[in-house]
Amino acid sequence: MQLNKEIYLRYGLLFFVLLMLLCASNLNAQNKPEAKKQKPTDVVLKVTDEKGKAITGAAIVLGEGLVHTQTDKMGLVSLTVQSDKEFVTISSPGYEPQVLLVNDLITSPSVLMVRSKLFLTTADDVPLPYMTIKKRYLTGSTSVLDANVLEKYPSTDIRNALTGLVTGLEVYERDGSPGISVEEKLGHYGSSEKVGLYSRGSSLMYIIDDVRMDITEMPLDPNEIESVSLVRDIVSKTMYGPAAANGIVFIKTKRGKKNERVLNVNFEQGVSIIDRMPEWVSGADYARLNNLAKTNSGITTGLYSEDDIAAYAKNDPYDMNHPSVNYRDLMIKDTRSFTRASVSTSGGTDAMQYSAYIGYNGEGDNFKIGPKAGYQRINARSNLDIKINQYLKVQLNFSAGISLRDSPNYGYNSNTGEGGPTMGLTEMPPLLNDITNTPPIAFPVYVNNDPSLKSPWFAISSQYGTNPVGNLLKNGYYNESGRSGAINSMFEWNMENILPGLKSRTFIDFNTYYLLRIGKSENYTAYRIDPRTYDPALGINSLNKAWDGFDATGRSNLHDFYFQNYAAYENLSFERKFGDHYILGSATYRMSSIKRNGFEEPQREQAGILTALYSYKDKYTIQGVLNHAGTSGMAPGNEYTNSPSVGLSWIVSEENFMKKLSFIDFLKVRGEYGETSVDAFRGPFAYRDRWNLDSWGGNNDKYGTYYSNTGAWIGSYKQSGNNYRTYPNRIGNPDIKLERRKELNLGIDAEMLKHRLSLEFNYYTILRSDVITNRYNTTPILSGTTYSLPAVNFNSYSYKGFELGLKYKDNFGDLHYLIGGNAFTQKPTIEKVDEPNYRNDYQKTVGGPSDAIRGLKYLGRFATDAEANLIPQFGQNLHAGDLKYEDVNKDGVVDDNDAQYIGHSTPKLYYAINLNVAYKDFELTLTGVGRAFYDQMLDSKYYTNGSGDNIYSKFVLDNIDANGVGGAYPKLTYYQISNNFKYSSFRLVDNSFFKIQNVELAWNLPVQKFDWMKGVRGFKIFTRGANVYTLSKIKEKDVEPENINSGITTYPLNITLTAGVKLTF
Amino acid sequence: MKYKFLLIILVALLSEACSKFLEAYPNGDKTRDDVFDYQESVQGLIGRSYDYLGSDYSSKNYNSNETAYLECATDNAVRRSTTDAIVQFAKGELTTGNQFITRDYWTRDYNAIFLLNLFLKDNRGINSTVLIKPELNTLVVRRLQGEAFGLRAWAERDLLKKFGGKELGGARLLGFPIVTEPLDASKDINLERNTYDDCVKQIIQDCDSALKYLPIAHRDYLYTPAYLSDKKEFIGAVNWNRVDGATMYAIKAMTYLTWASKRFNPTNEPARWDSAAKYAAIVMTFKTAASPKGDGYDPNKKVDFNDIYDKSIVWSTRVLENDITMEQVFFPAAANGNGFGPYGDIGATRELVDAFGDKNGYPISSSTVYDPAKPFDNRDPRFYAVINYNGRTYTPAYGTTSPIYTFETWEPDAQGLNGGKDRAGNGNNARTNIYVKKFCYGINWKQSSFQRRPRCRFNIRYAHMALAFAEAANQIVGPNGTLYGYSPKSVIGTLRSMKTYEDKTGIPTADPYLASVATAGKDAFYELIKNERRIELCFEGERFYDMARWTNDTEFSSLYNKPVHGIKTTKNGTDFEYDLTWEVETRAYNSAYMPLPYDEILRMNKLVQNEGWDQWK
Repeated sequence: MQLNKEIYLRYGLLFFVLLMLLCASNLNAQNKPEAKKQKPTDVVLKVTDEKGKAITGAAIVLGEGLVHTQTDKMGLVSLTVQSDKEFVTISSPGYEPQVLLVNDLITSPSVLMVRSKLFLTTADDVPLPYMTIKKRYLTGSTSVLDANVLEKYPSTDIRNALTGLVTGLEVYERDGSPGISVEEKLGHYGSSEKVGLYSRGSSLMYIIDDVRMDITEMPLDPNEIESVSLVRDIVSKTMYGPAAANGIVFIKTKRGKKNERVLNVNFEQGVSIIDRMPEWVSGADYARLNNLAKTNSGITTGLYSEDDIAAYAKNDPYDMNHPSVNYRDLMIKDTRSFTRASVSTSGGTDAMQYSAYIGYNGEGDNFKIGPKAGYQRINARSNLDIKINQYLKVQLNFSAGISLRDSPNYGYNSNTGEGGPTMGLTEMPPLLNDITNTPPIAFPVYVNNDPSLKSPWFAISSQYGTNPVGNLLKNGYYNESGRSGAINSMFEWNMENILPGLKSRTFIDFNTYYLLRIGKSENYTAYRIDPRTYDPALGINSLNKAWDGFDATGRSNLHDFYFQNYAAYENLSFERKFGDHYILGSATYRMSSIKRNGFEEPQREQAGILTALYSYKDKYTIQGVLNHAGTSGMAPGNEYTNSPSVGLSWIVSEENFMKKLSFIDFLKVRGEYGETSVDAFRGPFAYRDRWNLDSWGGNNDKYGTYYSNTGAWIGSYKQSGNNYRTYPNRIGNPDIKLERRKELNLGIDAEMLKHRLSLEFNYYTILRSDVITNRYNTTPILSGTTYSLPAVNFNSYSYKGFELGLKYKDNFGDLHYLIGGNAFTQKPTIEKVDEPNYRNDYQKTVGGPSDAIRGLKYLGRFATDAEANLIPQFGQNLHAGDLKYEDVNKDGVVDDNDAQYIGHSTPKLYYAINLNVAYKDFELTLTGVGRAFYDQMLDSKYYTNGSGDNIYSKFVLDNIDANGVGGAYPKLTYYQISNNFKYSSFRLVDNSFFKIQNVELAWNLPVQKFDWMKGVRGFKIFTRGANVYTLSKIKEKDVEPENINSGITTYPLNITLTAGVKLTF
Repeated sequence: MKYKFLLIILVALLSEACSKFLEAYPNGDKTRDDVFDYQESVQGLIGRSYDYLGSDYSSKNYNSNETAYLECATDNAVRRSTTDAIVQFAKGELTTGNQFITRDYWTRDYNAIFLLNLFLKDNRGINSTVLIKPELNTLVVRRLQGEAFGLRAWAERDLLKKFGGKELGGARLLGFPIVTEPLDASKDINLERNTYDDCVKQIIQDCDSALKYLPIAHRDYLYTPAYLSDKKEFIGAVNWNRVDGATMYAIKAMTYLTWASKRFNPTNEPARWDSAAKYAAIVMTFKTAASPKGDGYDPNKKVDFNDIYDKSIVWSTRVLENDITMEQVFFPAAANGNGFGPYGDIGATRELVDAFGDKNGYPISSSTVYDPAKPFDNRDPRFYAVINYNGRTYTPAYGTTSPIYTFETWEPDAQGLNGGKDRAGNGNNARTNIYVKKFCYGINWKQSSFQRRPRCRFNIRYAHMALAFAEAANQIVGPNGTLYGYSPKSVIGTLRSMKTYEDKTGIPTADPYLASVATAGKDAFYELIKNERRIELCFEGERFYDMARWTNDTEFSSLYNKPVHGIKTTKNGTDFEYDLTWEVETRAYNSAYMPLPYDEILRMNKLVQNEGWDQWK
């Protein structure tokens, strides 16, 4: 432990020193020019077009957004600037934006704006795989998110920050654990993706700076990011290839810009508070409920007396005879700290641009007791653009990160007292599992907590063989460190001396990640106790010891994980304009190889991609992509697939017949169609057989005589050699190929009311076919290969939906506001699926929704015992008050064949609201997200517990009457009536909910007014909140609608509240 | 020019690298064809099939506790868990969503058949090279070929035993879909069940094929020592636990016996009985044949389930060292010690207790010494070797002589206190208050824990053959007649008087009751044989299929669709009162047949379900 603290201290110090150094050096540099120019300067700008006509309403931004203002009717604007090194960005729809140095403006304060077509300016670059295309030419619906908004979301996980910001993107937070685990996406140790990003029914992949990589493998901070594009239409996806068929979150990190010089220091601190966590009953309530359950099941013995219950009500977790342990209070704290700090700088000259970033993220953990726990991360990144000569540019990008997780080592191999540690990516889920299983009165925490003991002796019982407190305190601890490093470089070669417009880019990337968990795996001494029969007179010596404690002598490697990745591409591009004709073309070859431990072979892919775009009068555009990609792991001959796609767009608003509709500033209709393969990177070699051969040499396994003496009548002592066993591990399917998909995307982009209102509308239809499955449901068991079925291309699904995005911005004097919203619908359908040959039509799923929830239809409760036995339900002897289900097939029996379509599990509507209001120095940002029209089966442990001597949840307590007969909980009995716990509409609820996902209230200090703030260009004080408020249709206030297992099998979600400052120098 | 030159080189280099880039790395994956290139994997096809088919005691495939669990679907036993599939089956409450154990049988049998078919296809197995010396190679591959046929016969017989039955909505007697080729799972497969008769023929044919290759038994002393001196690495006792010729005759005897029984023999063809008797007699004669090496079985001696070389074994599984499986299943919770958790999972019924007669061999209904107030006194000596009951004490084999464990099943008093520790409902205890002793070794003398033993399951033993013979021969020659060298009466007499599993003297050889029943004729003697079979083979997984084959539908439901009982115990001072009318479960079988796995029915629409399983069609 001591060592631990030291490490933290050192990291902390190191970081602090770095921070100070950076600030100080910059301030020094700043001070020199400041010495000459102490006072702020007022500049009055006049903005005009080429003809000298004043431009009204042009947006003026000083620095990195320190001051927002706009020109008046005369095209004039007055600015107070503090430094002549400051830069001003001037933009207006239909003009090329300009970035100018204040120094230049002082000498010539009139700005001439060059007219440009809408969405054709330098600000309208849309980064896409291997190519940047102006927004005007796009035939698809790629949305580009300006990364500045991301920092408003206080989370260590950038995925959360995307919630509600992009049309068509669904962000699903499943788990509120601190930090990010690199293995979560791989599903190691029962984990699942902490935050999922979905669009159009598919889980998205990530590309960071042209390299395919999961976001967990390179956790990014908002201030490292330049832009995030959501690439989801077919043409743009095929510009990458089959691996991107599900859509891409396309991230570019920050690069320096000419004339800019920014240094930002951010510091933010706050607290995360557990939002909703299901509760379980106290000891006294447990005893009452258990009595009631027994009575209802006709059990008259073993009831708790009133005296017992009174003793439990003292809630003493240490009482040997009447313990009542509230594990949650004892072990989990509701709050944990959140800290974020970073320094970033960027800028550059003509010859070189730079961007550098160092950031720190820290989160505490929710364990109240036990070894130190928490998550910390330091990221460092620097991106350089160097111009070698007029033909050659070089990009050099370095990034590195270290993430540290400290944790107790909860649990010790199911607590049998044998073997090593129980693995988990985080330790909260097994803890939650234990405390949601162990009744509060099962045993006291300790049997002996004498201060003279080095480690107390913990209690367990014969039924509950693990002590959660002991597991947390005395099973050891670990420190996990993950180190990542990435280097990539690109040579950009301007080949205009060969052919004007021709450019070559050569890119290569290496990156690695290594995670090492070092710690101790120890165990405590445990005694079995039955508090009800324990006799204090006999003392603890009468107890039965379950196992001895065990201290590890040294720390050891408990777990490790690595990946290595390299990627390279060569891209030749050609861009030219001949009069009305615009041509953009590129040819790319790329290759990548990813090696992860636990994977048989590196995942390799390579592709040749041809892209051509032609636009006539910048009004009619056609783009075509042909992608020829290969992937490792497929049979020779099936490795390569072609993905052709084509897109068209037409800017209708520039046609003469539209000119009359003056309220429309811009209207584009677009459409894309294409076909692609889907490379989901399944395990390799599905095309070939794999036969296993086992051989064990144990006596158990051999034929022949086992003992020389007893075997005498059979023959002399002779055992056979090893017994071999041959069996198929996998039956190969030589015809296996990648899944295919066809997509049609149609859409409209519009700007109206003098650019105040913008609109995006998309329609998509996707047909997935040849989806790979094992046909478990249609391959008969008698084939003899049930456990090794071949993978075949069989299933097919379709997805259809609409997406709508709206944005309205305006201002009243000093009040600037922006209201945005987006909404989308989805309809997933099963076209063909491996399903059993059901006898009844209602059981068949083909043609129905693929998100169907199937179960019994609940009809009500039986009124009388006689009614309960009219139709046998699951063959059980039922009574009045038990649940009645529909006999759909009218065969006189209710059984599993009566399960039918009763609901659907994905929202039919997903919507988000974005609000941004700025008044003078104050700014409010708010994002709300909602899901509607879908169902949730309340089948978590919280709802279905309560049989035998097991624990009861607060839900049970709240939903039964004095006789144990309830409303939302069917009936409290000791022997569970399984009929009442079938998968049925009884437990199905409308899961619509709305969340205020993110709020920021900021005050930009008018630094110009404070003389003492020399050198400081901006000073923003803010308070932020994440996951602030939830409105849910689920009645139980402690159940999280986004994941009903939150707090039961996964970390509960948090409300995070922070405050901080952002300083710009 | 320079650029172009460079470009050409670059393109050439790249295209070379790219074409190799995606190629699979070398690895040792074996394809189906490769299996035959390695002698280990050729042998492994057979080795794995043994695991599927019950020769591997440890893997819990088909192990003996599974057949004991199956007994809970009969009037012999009750399962502790009230929600277990086996209980639902017996109570007629099994729903299609419940994966009944028969599905496991179906899966294992067909998994083995797939591997065996692969071995047999195109004679690839027998033509492969396992050893270098040709004559030794022939020895081994011929044995493997014989085992392949033999194990397939065993799997097929298992399928027929479990699933053979009358079709739903028809009159045909059906077996299982016969599969003799390795099927291709990437093609559509839709097979129908062959008729019961065809299945019998297939089993017999496979047994006969096996007999061409297998020795009558894997023993050193069936061969001359000189021959063995250089070959015992490959033949003889080294192959103990593998199927042999005697096993094949036994499978034939058991198959014919079922085929001859009332339910599957509507025209009552006597030839089937005759074949059953003939093959059973072959095995009996072989097993008992005296030899200088002393390897003949003496049917009067005790059967020791804890002796892995018990001479009554015809075919057993391989050995599981330090086994405790049966004790865990049968013993009550309080017998816990050293961390072995007994499950108290299976309790015998009062009906099984009643099936045992009194100490003189009379059934309790006509006994002069049986007293219902003291139901555990003066009983058939075999009763004590099979059942543990209230008041039974265990004394250590050596060391101290004071009892270390006493079974206590009495109810608590009015205050709910002082109940016997082994009573039903008190933790992991049997629901009937009657515990099973058969197979168990006993209690360790040191503490109240179990003694672990090396153990195997007796797949087929002498008593199976004796009972099969008696049942079959009785139909042809009556109780006192002689067929193939044996008379049913003497065979049954030996079973009754042989030493018990506890090595105690059995029913006195002067057995007046046996003599009187034999005199009463064939039908009366048949009833006696049925009861003997019930007693001798209890917890060996035979009872349910016997109940089915001995009855027609009306008889089946009137005999078995009724409650089974436990024995409720009340303590009065030092005396006990036993309530023999205490119902613990009511049986309401859907049918005398087991259901075919429902999900398999949904996979192949040609597959017809068994009668009585209308929800499962």
